[in-house]
Amino acid sequence: MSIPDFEKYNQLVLDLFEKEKFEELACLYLEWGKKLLALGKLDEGCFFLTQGYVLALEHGMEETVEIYEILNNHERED
Amino acid sequence: MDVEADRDLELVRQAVEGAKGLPNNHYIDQATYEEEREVLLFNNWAGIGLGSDIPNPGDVSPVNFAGMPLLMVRNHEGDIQVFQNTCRHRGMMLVEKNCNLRGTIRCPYHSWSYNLDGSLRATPHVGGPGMNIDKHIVRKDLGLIKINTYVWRDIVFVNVSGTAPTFREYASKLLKRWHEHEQPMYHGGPVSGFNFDVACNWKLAVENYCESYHLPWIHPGLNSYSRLEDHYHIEEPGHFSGQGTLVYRQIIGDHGETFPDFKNLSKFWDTGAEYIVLFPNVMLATQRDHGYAIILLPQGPERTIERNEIFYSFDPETRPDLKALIEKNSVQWRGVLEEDLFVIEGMQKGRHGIFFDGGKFSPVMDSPTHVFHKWVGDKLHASRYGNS
Ligand code: FES
Ligand SMILES: [Fe+2]
Repeated sequence: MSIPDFEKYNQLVLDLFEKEKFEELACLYLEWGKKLLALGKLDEGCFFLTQGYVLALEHGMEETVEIYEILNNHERED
Repeated sequence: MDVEADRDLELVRQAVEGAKGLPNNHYIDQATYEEEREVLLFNNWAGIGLGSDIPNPGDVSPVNFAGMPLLMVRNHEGDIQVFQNTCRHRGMMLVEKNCNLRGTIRCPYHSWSYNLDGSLRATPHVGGPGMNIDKHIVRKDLGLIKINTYVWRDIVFVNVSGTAPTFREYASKLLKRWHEHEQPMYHGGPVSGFNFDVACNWKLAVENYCESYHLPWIHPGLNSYSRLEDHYHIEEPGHFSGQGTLVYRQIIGDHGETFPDFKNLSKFWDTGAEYIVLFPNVMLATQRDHGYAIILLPQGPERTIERNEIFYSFDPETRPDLKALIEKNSVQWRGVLEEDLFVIEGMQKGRHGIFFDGGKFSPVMDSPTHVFHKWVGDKLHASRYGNS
């Protein structure tokens, strides 16, 4: 897939994984996912939102609600 | 099962006067260990850990119970439930070490995520990247496998098979016997828990705990204030056995301090104390001012972890003045319980003697041990042939 800023985000993701900063990572996925959706990249956007969703669930984050809504609206989660 | 093994079990199940002990294969043979694991440990209510292992909401603790991966969970309401620690997707072990979870249990493999009540909450990318649903993945059918759980005296009991009666029914005779102690018990904190890693079959720890015959030889110190003639047998065939004493004396601190008693106990407990094994694997002590539990965690036919845990009538956090006495008490019990280790390891070694026939019970001194052997024999017989 051709994704803008791919290298930049990729490096951030790897760093946060490495440092086990999963809450920041969830937010990063959310930010990136929304950006891709805005660009009309539905599959890519939902992929990263899903990554963020699972981490947000695991860490009991309030972002869970927002991500769920987006995924659910796109019939990607129920 | 072969004819010889059946004949041996028949000898075990006789009245104590004519009975033989369980033969060697029940201590050293892998196939017999596995049969007993199912029939004795999984089909009944066995202890696996403590509520105080997971004190806070969201705490989880994995337990390897005789090879079975289990997960103790304290949910956000504070209730404890045990699950099989295995993901419903590809069978990955879910949790490897104790931790606190603020949200879901996320499988480390493909991140299927479970709520603390075991229900399956998320199945990321299950229908392809970014698609988290699939009509063939019915989440409500894919929750974690729940294991029947009951917490008594802070001990987490499980009935793995799900076939036993309720815990309160299963243990009803013991609950009745010790009903006066049915009141809050508090773990004494880190100094009050210690483990022994013992080279013996788990049943040998039970057998040694049941009887007082060994006291004068193995616990000469204990015996000085706890003479053999002050002991009595406790026998409840099919349920538990052990020993009691009529001359229990409270431990006294360097400044004359003692532990507060449990509330409203009858006169008997002034000097009475009881030491009972609730079959299969929990060895208990009940006394006026403290009690303990020893949970046996089998690691194979010839290795057992003993978890020793001491409990009080009061929350130790509220009584810093008793800290030294709690420590002294732990040291004392540890010393006594350690004295038994060479015996149970020695009995294990002895069972590699190919001519050992299970041994001869003293009808007078060994009857509580025989109650346990008969329980084992009866359970195995019933499992092989039905109740006859
Ligand atoms: S094995 Fe657990 S998510 Fe795949
Ligand atoms: Fe002993």
